[in-house]
Amino acid sequence: MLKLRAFGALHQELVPEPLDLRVLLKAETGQNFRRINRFIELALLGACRCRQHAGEISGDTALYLACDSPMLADSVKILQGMELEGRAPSPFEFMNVSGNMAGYYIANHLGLSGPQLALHRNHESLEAALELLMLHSAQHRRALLGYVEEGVWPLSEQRVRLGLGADAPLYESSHWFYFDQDCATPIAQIEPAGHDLAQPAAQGPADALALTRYLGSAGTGELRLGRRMVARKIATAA
Amino acid sequence: MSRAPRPVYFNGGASLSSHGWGIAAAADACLQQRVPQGRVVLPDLESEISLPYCAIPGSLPSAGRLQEVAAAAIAGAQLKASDLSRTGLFIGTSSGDIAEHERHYAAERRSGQAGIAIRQPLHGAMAQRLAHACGIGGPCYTFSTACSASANALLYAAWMIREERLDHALVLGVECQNRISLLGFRSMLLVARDACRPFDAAREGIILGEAVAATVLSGTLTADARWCLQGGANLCDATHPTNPSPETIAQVIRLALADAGVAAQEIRAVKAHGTGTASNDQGEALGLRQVFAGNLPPFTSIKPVLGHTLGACGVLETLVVQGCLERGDLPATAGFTTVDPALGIKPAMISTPIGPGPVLLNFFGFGGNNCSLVMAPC
Repeated sequence: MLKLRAFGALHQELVPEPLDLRVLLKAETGQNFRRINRFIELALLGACRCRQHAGEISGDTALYLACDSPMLADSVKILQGMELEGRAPSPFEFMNVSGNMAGYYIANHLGLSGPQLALHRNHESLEAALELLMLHSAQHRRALLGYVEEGVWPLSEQRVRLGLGADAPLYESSHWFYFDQDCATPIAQIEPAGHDLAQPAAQGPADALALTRYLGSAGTGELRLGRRMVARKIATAA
Repeated sequence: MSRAPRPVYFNGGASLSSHGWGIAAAADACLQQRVPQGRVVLPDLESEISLPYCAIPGSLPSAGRLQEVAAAAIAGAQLKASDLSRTGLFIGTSSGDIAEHERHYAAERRSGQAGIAIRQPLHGAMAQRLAHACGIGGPCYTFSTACSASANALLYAAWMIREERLDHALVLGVECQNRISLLGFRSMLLVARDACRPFDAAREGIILGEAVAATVLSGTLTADARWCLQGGANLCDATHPTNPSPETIAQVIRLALADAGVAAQEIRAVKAHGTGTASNDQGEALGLRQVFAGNLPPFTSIKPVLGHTLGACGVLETLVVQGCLERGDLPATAGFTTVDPALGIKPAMISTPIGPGPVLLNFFGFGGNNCSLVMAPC
């Protein structure tokens, strides 16, 4: 069972011209991050919002980043550069598509030195990360878990890439959850459902979004997460 | 405090590397210091580029390679259909499906289409396809922590079995030749001109390679099992995105030893990450010295023979070191001739007999992802 202490998120529908996340990141953190890509900017924004709600993130916190399509925009850009222009990726372009790099920048910014993972399962990446976080052998007292989905422009091409219709709305998001097993007043707990649920309640980005909406709502009851997890708000929480 | 966790057994393995099929072939190559001399030429760029590379012989596409190696590992472990329903799939890969995406995009462009770079981008798709093809009924996980990816896959699979959440785990390391990795490491000036010489004073970088390697981890001792995975640890080094610090390396090794319930002085040999880059080898050498002080056991790097197989090296190098030690020796570090005074340590220069006992395995990845494992003969 995981005790949830805080969460923070950014979720927005994509518009034809991308919002400049560097400006937002500077406004929210007071820091200029150089030579990072949009995926890392999104990850940092969500993690920093979660830290703001938590008050502090302990230095021994484990950092798990779950996503279905990591570093997609830069990977597309590198492939197009090689194929259309015969151009090799620059050192920073290449470094930034490495699976860990968003986790590195978050750990560096928040002063974390615990374990770190980047992991994926088709449309169930959040659930996969929760399963691994629950391993006793990992010995995590605290963990920061993020689910990040990045927009890629032009949107018409992205819809084709994802196999969506021409009018389908697209989103990008960064949802972060801070678990603290020593927290005396958790806002919710997440635990295995006890058996595989027959049908997923939601999938992929919808899971992370559903969880943040559930946590931010006034309602009670429980929320099914994927096939194997259940979230329950704790009634005594403020 | 030292404790003895429930053991997790390696139930055989299979691999396809630059030395062809099988762990035995790769282990023999390491013991005989057979360094591949292959190169890969990358056309269609501003200027043609030729790089040393450890390629898998033949032309089997990556999906076929995966299925063949996985099937061989499952057959070697004698898993039945009923066993597979309680088996999880753990894949570690740095580049994932990118080689396939590169091929599809190039083919679309050649056929006159505008093309879409990276269609259906799902990093877990490889695992899902493989699980379906192999009849695996347990959960699938894909780890993308760069060069420590399949080491982390081994570690988390072992923990799942230790806690009896799974009976078996099929663990794969997968890395297929792709232009992004080749050109990316070249652009970072990390690729050696001709030879990889880990820990040598004149080392000048890595030589990349490709591989698919698989093993089955199980919670029960079988007649064929010869090694167990005693434990390990993972830590993030947030001090630099690509250069690991000695302090964090020492810390992850100490945590791995604690998880395994093994004292540093019990370690009989070390399989170093040993990439042959200036910064990696320096960080690792100084980290090892912090842990072992003046009692550093024999250590080696096998990347000069296998190439740096990035996300695949965790499983591949673990299995190949097992193969070497089963033949009685820790292989020499091919290409090493001269001690670097800044490192102050010397890897094995000849094949070295190693008695039975725990072995430490190091794997470090970009983004500060460090993973150490401890294995021992059953």
